[in-house]
Amino acid sequence: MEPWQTLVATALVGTGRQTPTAPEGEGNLKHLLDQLDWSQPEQSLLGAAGAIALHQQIGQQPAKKDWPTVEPCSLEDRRCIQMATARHLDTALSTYPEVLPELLSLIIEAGQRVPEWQLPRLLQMGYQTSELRPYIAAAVGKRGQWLAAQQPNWGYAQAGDANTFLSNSSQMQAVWQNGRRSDRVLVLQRWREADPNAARAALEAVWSTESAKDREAFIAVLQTNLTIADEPFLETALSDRAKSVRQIAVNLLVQLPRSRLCQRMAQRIQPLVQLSDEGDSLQIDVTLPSNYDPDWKRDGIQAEGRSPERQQGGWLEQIIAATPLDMWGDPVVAIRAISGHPQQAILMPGWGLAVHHQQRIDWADAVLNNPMSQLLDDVMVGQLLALLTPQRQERWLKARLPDNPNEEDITHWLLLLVQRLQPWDLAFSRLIFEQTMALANDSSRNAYSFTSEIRNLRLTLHPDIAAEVAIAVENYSNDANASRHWKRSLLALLKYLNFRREMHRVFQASE
Amino acid sequence: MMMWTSEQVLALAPDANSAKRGKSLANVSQWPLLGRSEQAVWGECKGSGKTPYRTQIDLAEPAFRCSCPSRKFPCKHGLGLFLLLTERADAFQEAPPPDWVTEWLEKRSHSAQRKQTKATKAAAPEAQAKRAQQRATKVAAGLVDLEQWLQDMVNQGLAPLPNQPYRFWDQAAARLVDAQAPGLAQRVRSLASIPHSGNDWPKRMLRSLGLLHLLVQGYQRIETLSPAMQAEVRSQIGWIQTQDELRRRAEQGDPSVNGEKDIWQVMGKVTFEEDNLTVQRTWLLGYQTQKPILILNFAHGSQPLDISLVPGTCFVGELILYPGTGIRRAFVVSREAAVPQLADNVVADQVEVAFSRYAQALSQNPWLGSYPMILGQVQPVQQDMCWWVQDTTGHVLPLSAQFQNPFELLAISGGHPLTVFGEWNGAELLPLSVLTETQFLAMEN
Repeated sequence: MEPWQTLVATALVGTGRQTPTAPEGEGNLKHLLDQLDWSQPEQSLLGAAGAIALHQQIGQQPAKKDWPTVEPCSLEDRRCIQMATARHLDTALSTYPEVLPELLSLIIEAGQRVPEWQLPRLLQMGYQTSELRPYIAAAVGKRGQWLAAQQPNWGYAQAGDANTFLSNSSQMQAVWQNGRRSDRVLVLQRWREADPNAARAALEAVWSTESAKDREAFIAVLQTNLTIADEPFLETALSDRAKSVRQIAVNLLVQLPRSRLCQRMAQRIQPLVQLSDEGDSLQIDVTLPSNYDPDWKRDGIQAEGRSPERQQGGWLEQIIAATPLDMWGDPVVAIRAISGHPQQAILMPGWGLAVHHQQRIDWADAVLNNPMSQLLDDVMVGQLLALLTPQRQERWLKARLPDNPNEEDITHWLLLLVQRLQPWDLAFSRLIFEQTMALANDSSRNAYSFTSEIRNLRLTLHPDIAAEVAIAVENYSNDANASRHWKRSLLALLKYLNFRREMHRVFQASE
Repeated sequence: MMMWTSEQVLALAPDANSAKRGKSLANVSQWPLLGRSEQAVWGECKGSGKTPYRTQIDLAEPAFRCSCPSRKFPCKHGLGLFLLLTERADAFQEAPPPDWVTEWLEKRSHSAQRKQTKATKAAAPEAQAKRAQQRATKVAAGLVDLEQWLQDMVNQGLAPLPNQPYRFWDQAAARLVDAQAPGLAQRVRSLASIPHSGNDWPKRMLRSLGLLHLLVQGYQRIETLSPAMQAEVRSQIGWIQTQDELRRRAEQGDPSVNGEKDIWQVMGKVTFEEDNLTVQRTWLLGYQTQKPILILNFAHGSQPLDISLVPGTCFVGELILYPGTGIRRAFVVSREAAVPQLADNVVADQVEVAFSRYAQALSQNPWLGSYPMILGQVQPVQQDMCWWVQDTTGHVLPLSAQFQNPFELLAISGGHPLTVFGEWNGAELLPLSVLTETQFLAMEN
């Protein structure tokens, strides 16, 4: 045993039980140790321990390791965000996480990236919040993609952005073949954005070996850049073992009027609906289907789901929803034709679903601008509204502004728009804020629940409105009748708007 | 005027919460008034009350003042104002300072002068000698007691130590505090955690006991040592001279106290708690000598720490070195000007060279605690569940388990070599800052 180990062993037992033996050393150490007087064992042991420990410490050599190296990251990368933006990102991560999609979008649109030192925190945030992943992956630059490969939880960010996506890079292939489901979805998404047909071919190649949950997640990606070229694959997916996969395939196929599914639907609807064109008006005759054809099942038509007496109507509604809308001709004429129609309660919701699934902007516009849209529930109205351009949406909402401002009408109007997570322009933001303040000033009821409904306005009002909001909030706070809930809610709104204004300012200034 | 970065400003924050609040105040809309002059910046910040808070910063140091009631230092307003200056300098009006700023600046320059004159006032030599004599007697008695305690421990064996309560160590340490040997008390207290430090703890314990024994022996034979080593032993025991005393001795031309003028680069700092005391170690590197210097600051309870030395900055100034050997401790006597960062001048070592420098420093001071290393051309590596830095020859150093941000280090490197500054404690490296070709980044710890 080495002298040092002997010494430690003796010390453990104690010199009271075991007499220490004088350790031997070499050179200077020996010279030192020789001076110790072992008739005083405790003192000598401590002295020897000090000397040997020091000797070892001084003679310590670093270990040499032959570890595998990681391929270094390319040094050519996009420009880093400005310092002010980096701090905004830091603040958003800790205080305003809801603002992250907006901030990251600003970074992505400016063609910039997040600096190295912020990457771990941001990547971790994406690991915890999956909605942020597409933004984060596109904002971290090459360095972030490189770093994401070093930590399994951050793998999603390897997908990067669509502009620089290289499907045949070894990194992408590694993720696509061995990554986690969510990481693979993001890679497939980028692939689809960059090269839709190649992405579908890649999916087809692995399709039969994937689990139902994986197939469900992957097939949904085909929504991006969906074309008739995807039809054969989607048609086979209608026979998939998993119901969820079949449903997604149906939803995608109904968006393709030339698909076999749409043709089948057209055939099914033919005996049920007679259209007679009478100049500028349309006559629609409807026959309800008498029984459920088992072939319908594969094309996504549910047999059950409604009360027996409404079952037949339900079948027709589903067939209408999956039939190309073009069969009805001009949407404005068609909608006018069902006013007072005995089956309007089937036709209108059927069209609503069809418009939503087939993403038809012309139809959405026509439906929303017809009083018949009252037959649709608010969720459906919201979905159709989302199909319109922001300008069209604003026009539509403006037209529905309550002319006689009372609490109920304003509340209803605001509820129509606060669910949307899309930015409003400055003029329309003023309109929204005006209505909000009208409601706040009418403190006749406890606004607690409503103030939480308008949370989204923090993210959707135009940031340049901040100064006006500041004045209004100040005036409101000075009012003795001010409601506590409104005050708090308005102050929070102001805080977000101020933060967002600063955030945007950096990008405007650098343009 | 020197350029500050947001990181440097945030490094001044007394705690994470203040940093967070400061960040949210770095928003032009919160400040109805913002102004600046050559020497200072100021602003009025809307608070919860009617009157706005008046916040000001003397940029020379930096030093802060705010009319808010917060006891944090600097407060969130100070941090917010400073952050705003780094990012939105255009929002500050160039203007003659208002009265409340000029008054403060004048007061500051007065008190600086007072400090100077106070320093030259000497205590009566006889009274001083008497006090020194009294302390020497106490320390000597404390050391006899400590030596007996050590010998008893070795006599009865180290094996039962894991069962000793904290009291066992704390009482021994308290006796040393009473004996006016706080340095020894700290060493004894730090022994308490060794029996719970995992495999091989007896080796680490015996090593620490051995070094403690050497220190006691050294003090008992202090007159046989060189003057520098005498001073080192005294300071290890905790018998440290005050800054005023050293200033006076330096003015009187005492050869054992030297001042050193240089351009000092602030390499990094680390703050930790030690028995109700916040300790801050700041490392400076001299431009001409390439010599690392330690600046120690202490704060009791909620007292603010000195924040005038900001990692990544440089200043021309004079230090006075505490007498001692090896890596020297010092305090700042005067600062002339902040200068741009000089990172390009830093001489960094490969691991083997750093080790031999460490060995040299140990041979000058066996009780050396934290040793500053500047490692060049190293890369962070995660291997065997631990983080390391590896140099181009394959030599590795393990990173401290306390190190919070290994992935930050990895992100900054991108697989390319870096220069890392950190503290080596004989077993682990705690990175404090990173130097890349373009930037200096302080690591949070």
